[in-house]
Amino acid sequence: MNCQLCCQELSAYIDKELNEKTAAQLRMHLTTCLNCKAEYESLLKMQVMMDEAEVFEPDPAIWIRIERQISKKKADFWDMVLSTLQDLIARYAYFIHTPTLVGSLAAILLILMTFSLYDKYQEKRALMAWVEKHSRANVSLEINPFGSQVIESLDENPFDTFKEVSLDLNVNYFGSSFFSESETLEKNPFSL
Amino acid sequence: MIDLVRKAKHDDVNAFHELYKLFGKDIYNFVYRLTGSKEDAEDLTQETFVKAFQDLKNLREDSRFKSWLFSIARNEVYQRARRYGSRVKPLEEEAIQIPSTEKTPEEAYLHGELSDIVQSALDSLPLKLKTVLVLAAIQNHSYQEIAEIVGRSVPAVKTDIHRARLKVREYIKKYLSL
Ligand SMILES: [Zn+2]
Repeated sequence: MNCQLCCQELSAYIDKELNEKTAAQLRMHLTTCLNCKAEYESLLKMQVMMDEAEVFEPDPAIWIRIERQISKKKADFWDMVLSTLQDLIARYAYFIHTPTLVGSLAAILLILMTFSLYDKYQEKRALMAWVEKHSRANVSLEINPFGSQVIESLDENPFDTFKEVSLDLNVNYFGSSFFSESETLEKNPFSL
Repeated sequence: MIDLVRKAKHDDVNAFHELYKLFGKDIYNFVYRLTGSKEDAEDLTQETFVKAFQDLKNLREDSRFKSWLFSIARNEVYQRARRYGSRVKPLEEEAIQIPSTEKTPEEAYLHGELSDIVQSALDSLPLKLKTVLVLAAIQNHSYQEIAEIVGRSVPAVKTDIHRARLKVREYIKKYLSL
């Protein structure tokens, strides 16, 4: 092994990445060449420094933040709105007049919820209209803006299929009935 | 480990926590050495594991989890470096300028703070060289693993590690006899 090759391989030798044959050739060269030996020792000394460099301990709070974030994936829209609001409040609390803030946030929240609810209502109404048109069934619906749960039930009534369709729609808002609709439609079975 | 990866793929947060216990500290130290900043290291560790959890289903070979995780961490560091623009020049042969210590290496040495000297020497390297050197010389990854992490060939990695060593030595030589 010549000096140039030896110097090229020193790093890999220190990292124990050379195969046994090349490592043996390199060791042999180091016993005969003072220049390369000096180069090797200098790099080795540096490696000792690196080996002794501090290993840092991560803050345990990092996992808590990771866990919160990966669980957030499953959180629903309203949790997101609320946590964003919480963050905003925490961040800008200094500059904001609290009653005004609370008032405006409540208003925004109310508007958002109403929009969302109205959307859901429209969507479900369309769905129910379709159901009404194509089958004979009892449909009831409950929309809860807080949990984002849409509870629907479509009770097919096989014994009554050819007689009527009964449609119940209840939208609860703040625990009280917001929209309420109930219809029973007579249908000509042969038009289905 | 493979068993934990498989469970974590099915959204098992406890299994993922075990994986964090296995590799969290390594990842933290990796990104800490690359950025030289505790705050950045905390953020990047968090981002790495969140991303890993979300992308886990795309990992084909469960046994490659460790290399895969480090490659995510590396990408996060590169993205952050790019975002800082002029402050950090990751892909060019210029030294990155994340100020990590207030002391000069000489002062650090006088205070016996070996870690600080090593850090300022690392900070004198371009990010590409710093990455492979940290993985090889500080975290003792094999060249094969490093090649997987940085997405390059083993010979290319080997050459870069050697170049990085020589550069770090030049830097430290100014202050210490090596
Ligand atoms: Zn020689």
